[in-house]
Amino acid sequence: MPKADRWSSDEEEIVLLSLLPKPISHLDEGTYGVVWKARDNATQEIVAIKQIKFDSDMTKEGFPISALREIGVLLSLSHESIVSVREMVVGSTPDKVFMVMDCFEMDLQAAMKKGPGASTPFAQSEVKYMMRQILSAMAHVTSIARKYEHPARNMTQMVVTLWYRAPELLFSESCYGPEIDTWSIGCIFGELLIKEAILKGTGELDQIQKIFKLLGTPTDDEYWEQLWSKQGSTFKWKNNDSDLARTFAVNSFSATGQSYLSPDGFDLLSRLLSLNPKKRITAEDALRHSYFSCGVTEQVPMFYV
Amino acid sequence: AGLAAAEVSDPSTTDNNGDEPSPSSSEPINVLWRDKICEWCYNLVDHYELARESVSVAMNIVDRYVSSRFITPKTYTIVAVTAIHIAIKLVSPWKLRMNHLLDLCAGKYTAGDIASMELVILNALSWRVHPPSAFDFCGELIDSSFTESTPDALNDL
Repeated sequence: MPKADRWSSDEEEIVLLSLLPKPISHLDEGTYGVVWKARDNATQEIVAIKQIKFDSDMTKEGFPISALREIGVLLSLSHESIVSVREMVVGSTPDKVFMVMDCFEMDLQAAMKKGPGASTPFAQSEVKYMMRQILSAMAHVTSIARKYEHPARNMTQMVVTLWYRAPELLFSESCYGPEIDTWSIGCIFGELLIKEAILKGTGELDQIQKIFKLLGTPTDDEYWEQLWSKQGSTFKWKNNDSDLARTFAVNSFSATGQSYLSPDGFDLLSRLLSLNPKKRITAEDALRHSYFSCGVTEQVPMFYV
Repeated sequence: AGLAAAEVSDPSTTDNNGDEPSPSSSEPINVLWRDKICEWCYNLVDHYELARESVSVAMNIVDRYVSSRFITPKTYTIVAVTAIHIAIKLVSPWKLRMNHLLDLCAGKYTAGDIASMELVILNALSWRVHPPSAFDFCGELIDSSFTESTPDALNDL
């Protein structure tokens, strides 16, 4: 890690942050770079520092597009459920750029696998709590994120991790809208219920097959008929009926290790996982769904405390 | 890029008119420079069919940077070139290669110059480089006026 440094170019001399937080330990390797846990010497607060990863020849195109956009998005978001970027710090050389962020002990994945109570399913009250957080964060993003949508068009197919990728993206639809994200939230909902990713495809084709197996092949669906005829596809998909109701048991205290799921919860899950993106529920509408207004009240998950 | 360089030349070297300011001169920056830079940016994005919105973002960056510190005429052009480079990366669906940008500046700057200036600007503006543009405003307007808005409708506008 660079020490507090001055960095100068011909006509500019900038005094950078006087105290770059001191690194404590290595947390994780993100998409764009290494994340460190650190203490801010000025405030004694624990923060996370992410070092932006540069291509071998960073001067070729300048600061990486994806990182530039991510920083822009994170700086403009302000929501209790979204990690905030406190500041940006540039080190001794231009390829040392750091994002200073709030620090969390673990992410959701780690909480499911290693957190307290990892061996038992989440209580439905905990699932509901987490779903509200995720959906309200997403509703916030959607409300201000218009300008980040269209530039992403070229990269759409790459943006979402395969297991959480909406079916229309797998058929190279190039329209990146909020429906893509609500699909992912549906996948996360299912995952919270069974503590395991619900659609673990090994490749794009396998991912499509897994989706159609779980949710049924879209027959008599206007959207999919149009998409397939537009693409001139002659490929016949095996006709499946939806397996969703069998996979996620409603009102049952089974020993299968699934969280309890109310009929409202199942309805929300199936609306989030709607194959037709035009019929997929929006984050805002999902928050108004009876799942949140009826049944058990929400409860802060055990691993939060 | 050769063709482009002829059509869209670096603002600092376009000096067909004797009255026009040129950064190579020792004159202080004046108001005409901004017009010239702005026009140069529009020529550039139109030629490469990049998002026109990039120019308003770039000019926002230039204006805010210039008002944040003392600027010499020499710096003004590299600030402008770097600003359009940042803006295109941020808002344009299509990219402009650094090499093309350097060609357009007739070899005045190296990729390293632009990359360094980029960080200087980003730092000076605390990385806040997403100003709302007229395009965003129109998008909001369409959204609040019609229930269905498509990317095509936005483009038509």
